[in-house]
Amino acid sequence: MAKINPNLSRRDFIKQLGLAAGVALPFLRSSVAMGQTTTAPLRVLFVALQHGWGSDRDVARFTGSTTNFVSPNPFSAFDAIKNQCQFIDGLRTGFWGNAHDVSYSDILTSSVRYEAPTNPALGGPFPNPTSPSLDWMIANHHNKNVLRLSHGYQSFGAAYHPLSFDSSLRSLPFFTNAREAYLEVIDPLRQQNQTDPTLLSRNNALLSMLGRDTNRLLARLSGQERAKMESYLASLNALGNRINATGTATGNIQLPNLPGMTLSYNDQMDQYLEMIRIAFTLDTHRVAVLGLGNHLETWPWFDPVTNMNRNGNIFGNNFHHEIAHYDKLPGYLPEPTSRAAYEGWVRWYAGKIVGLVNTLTAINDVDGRPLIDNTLIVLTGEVGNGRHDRGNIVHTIIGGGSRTRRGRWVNVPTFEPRNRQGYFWGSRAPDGTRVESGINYGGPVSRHHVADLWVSVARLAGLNINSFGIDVYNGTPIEL
Amino acid sequence: MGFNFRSLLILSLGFVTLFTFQNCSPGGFKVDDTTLDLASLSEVAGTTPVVTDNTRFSAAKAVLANRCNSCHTGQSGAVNLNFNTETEYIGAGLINAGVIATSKLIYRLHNYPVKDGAQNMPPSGPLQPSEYAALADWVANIPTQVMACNSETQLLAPQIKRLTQIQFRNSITSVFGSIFPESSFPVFGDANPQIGLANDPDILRINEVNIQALYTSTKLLTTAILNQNANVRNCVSSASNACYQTLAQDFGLRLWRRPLTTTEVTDILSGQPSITASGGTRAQVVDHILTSLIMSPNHMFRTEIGAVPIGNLATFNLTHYEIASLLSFTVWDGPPDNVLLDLAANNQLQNPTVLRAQVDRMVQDSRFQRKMTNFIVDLLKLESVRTVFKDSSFNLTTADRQALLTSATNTLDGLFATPNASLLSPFITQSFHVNSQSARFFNLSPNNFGTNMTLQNMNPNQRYGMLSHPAFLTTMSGELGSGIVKRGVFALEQLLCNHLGAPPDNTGSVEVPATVNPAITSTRELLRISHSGQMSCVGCHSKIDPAGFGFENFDAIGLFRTTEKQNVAIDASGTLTGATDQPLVFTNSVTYLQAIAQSSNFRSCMTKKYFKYASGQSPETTNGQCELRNFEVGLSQKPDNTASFVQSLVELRSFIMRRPANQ
Repeated sequence: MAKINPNLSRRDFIKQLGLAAGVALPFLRSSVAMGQTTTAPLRVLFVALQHGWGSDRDVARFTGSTTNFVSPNPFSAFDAIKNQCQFIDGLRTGFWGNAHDVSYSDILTSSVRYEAPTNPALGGPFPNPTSPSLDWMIANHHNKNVLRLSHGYQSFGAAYHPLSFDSSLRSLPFFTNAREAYLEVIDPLRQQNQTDPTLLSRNNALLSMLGRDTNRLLARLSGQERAKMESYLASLNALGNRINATGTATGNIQLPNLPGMTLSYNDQMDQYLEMIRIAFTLDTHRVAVLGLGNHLETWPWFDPVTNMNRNGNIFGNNFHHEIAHYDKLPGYLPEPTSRAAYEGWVRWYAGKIVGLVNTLTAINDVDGRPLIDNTLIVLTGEVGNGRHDRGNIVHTIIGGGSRTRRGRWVNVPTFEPRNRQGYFWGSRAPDGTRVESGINYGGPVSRHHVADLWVSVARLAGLNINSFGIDVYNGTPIEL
Repeated sequence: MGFNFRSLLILSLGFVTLFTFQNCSPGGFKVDDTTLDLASLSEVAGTTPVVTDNTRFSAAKAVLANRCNSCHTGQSGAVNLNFNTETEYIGAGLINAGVIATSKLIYRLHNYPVKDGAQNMPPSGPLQPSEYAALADWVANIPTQVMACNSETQLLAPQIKRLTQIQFRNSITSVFGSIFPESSFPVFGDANPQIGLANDPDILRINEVNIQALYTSTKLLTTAILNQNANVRNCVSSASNACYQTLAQDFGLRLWRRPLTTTEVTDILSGQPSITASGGTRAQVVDHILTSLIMSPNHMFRTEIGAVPIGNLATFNLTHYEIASLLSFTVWDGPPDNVLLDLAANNQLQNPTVLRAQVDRMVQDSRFQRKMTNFIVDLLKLESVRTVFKDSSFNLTTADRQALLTSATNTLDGLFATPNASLLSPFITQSFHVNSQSARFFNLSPNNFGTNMTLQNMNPNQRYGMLSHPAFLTTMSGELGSGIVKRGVFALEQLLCNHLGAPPDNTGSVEVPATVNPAITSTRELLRISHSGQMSCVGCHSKIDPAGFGFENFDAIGLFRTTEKQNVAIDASGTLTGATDQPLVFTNSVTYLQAIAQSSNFRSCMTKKYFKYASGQSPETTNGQCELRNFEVGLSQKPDNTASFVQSLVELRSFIMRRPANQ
């Protein structure tokens, strides 16, 4: 029978640090994060950008050497924090189906099988994975929740793309607006700051009763109906972890106000990043997933054809084809104006990430190091760019401190589809049989699947694993 | 307008045609109207033969053997007319029990006018009067309650259904009254799929996100209850703890839609000692009771699982309380009232006569009309008018969006409140509720309207049915453009129940030639040039595009137009083939919407959608197809109004019993 596991009291955390509840702590620039121990845990933020961060085998190529390199546009937007970055150039993912639709479930699971059927319950033509996602695995290892935020990261009427899955392969929900996320992340902290000696007993009584109620109903169910109740029970456990913490968790850290019902795209982005900062600072979450969609309406960019400064989509309202595909010329050649618009769009998001990095750099973690040194930010996407490149997706790893070798460009070796020289490029079919890709055209494909990166990230986060996702994807882990 | 939903539904029952789309081939889509595809129905016909009168059936069989079975054996493309049981004839769609006029077997043999290209039957010459009489006599005397699928295994599945947001609100307000601020109610963050229904029980869950919203909202709700409910206030101020049990039992019955067991009551009250010991007040104890009842899965989920674990093998009856709940949420989207609870307490609700009487009572209530409105709102995705992205040039404000939604819902409420309203009514109306805020979207002057909504007759050359309402058109269009493809896909999938395949990978536009000036070329033509005319696209777009062209008289916010861009003429004409029994030919948007509304495929699709909406079960499964067919048969024998839909639903065996979970 499943049990509700109340989280360790935050009051106890503070006592371990020799601090009493409610003591005023320095704010922001030298604020102390409420880490659990003096060996600060690694926080991980996955950022999935719709259409990808702009890598392409035809354009945007890094040049130079591993530690002395020139970043192409739009990756040059990270130049201000270049010493915090590793550019893994690049990693492959799938090779079948619609590059976008097949990939969402696969980004953090590396386990969608070759031509797996779609699952309508996911809200669109998205297939099921066959193993849980990395964010869930890391959080589960730490007995923590994941902060999942969708900033317009959706299609086909689904509320959010299915990025995250638990061990039962349930698609895990994302907040779709800052107000919802605030009620989960910030509001409980406010409540914890209020003195109420009965709160713990009332919450315990409620959660215990609901747990027993749920288990009684669960015993009468089977199949898919049982899964609905299991989801309720898992959610109850997550709620219990949040509301059972007592004591002041924030010290003198200023909490933002409840966001309005409607926010601009920019403001919601900022709200999300603020919540991630607070969640990592106060150790309420150690993993976050941020899905970024393509509803940004205004961003500055320079048109190299007309030598004019532009803003937003000047072509119409079809971002996907007019901007992300940037292939308006015959033969699918990259069209300079569209490509420039796309790069400007990516740079807008890159600027927000740089801002977050700077903020985390200014916060001292419990071990005295900057919080960015105990945070890994991973930039990924369902494709490398809007033109469906899945053979060589540049992944950017930011932070990690001494755990990682920063300031590098890792030029991952590739193979030619026509001449693989014995290299296996394939997957597994739903029935488990090995399937080799029949593609014998196109540019070089990375010799490393993204699964090799996820193994490394998982190990840094404390998981002792040797492989991730579908077995035939795994080679040697990418050394970070 | 004399369109009759029932008669056109009957026609659609007579023509069982299967559309199957595995991919979009340039070859287009086949519609075989002369050969019944029985593959999908092979499992529909029950294994239990239904023979009500051996003599009549034998006489009919003799006629068929003599005049038909030499060809009609199911081979060489000819429909099989050589079955052993009446049930098989019904299941194959050849006859409707008790109804000669709508039994295809009868009227095809009676030399009624047939479609072009179809032969009169039998080809050897008309039936003799005595032969026809034998067939007619047989069909006319089959009891109408005979179902197409009679096997006990072809029942719907057991199910639990999370309350939708509307149902949650209705549940709370029905028990405690309308005492809550709007902001008290939780937002569950459910997906609203563009194709399909948002109330699908298979996608509604409690998850880590919305349980927080539920918890926070419940706190607000209980605060209001503590302040304003007399029974609660009395208990808080009382000195006795006995009222705690009374509150748990009384509110529990209404919220959980059944009496609480002794164990459940004890469980809820077991929290009281610890709360009191920690210094909690009586109000906090009562708060705990209310919160437990509201957040419990027994409140949040409606069950259709019977009284025993659903892993058992036998079919089983739903409990009387489950039937009460199923009936009330089907008709009212809310919990059962005291009448239904009393009937459940007295074990009355497995009686079909009692069920029918309750339906007759309940459909008179305005909550039924609101339920039908909610169905259309979900079907047409009208709620999305509040959130759909639109280009800033439209100056679409929050107030505009709300006004459009209110216009649509008020119109629907009014339609369903009229006596004998049918499911077709929203799709043929030419009157909408309008106010000054929404007027401009109807090409009307705001100066002619006040702030309140009033019913306004529309220009019949501009508007026809809810598919011409700006709320729908704004939702179903692009950010800037009319969205030909988006509207076409919606019409095909959601209104005509055509299943389109996924688009091939790497689809993209081709450059418009320099000789074409987009500023003076219609959007329709540009679509053809840049996309639809390509070989890899034409297979699907030969169908999608006409389905979207029909909406071209309406721009991205539903304004009626005859030109676009720099005075470029709008061409909203077209012919839609391969999606319906008969091609839809139209000259403009109004004639297109009329053609859709008149289409038997549309009516059949709407019936299927209602079945799904009301039952929560897929009509695509084997058992779902069976009960859908029974539902259609029942509907065909009733007056053409919305109440008939509910009556036909409660007549299904699955309304009171279910099959095992593992079948």
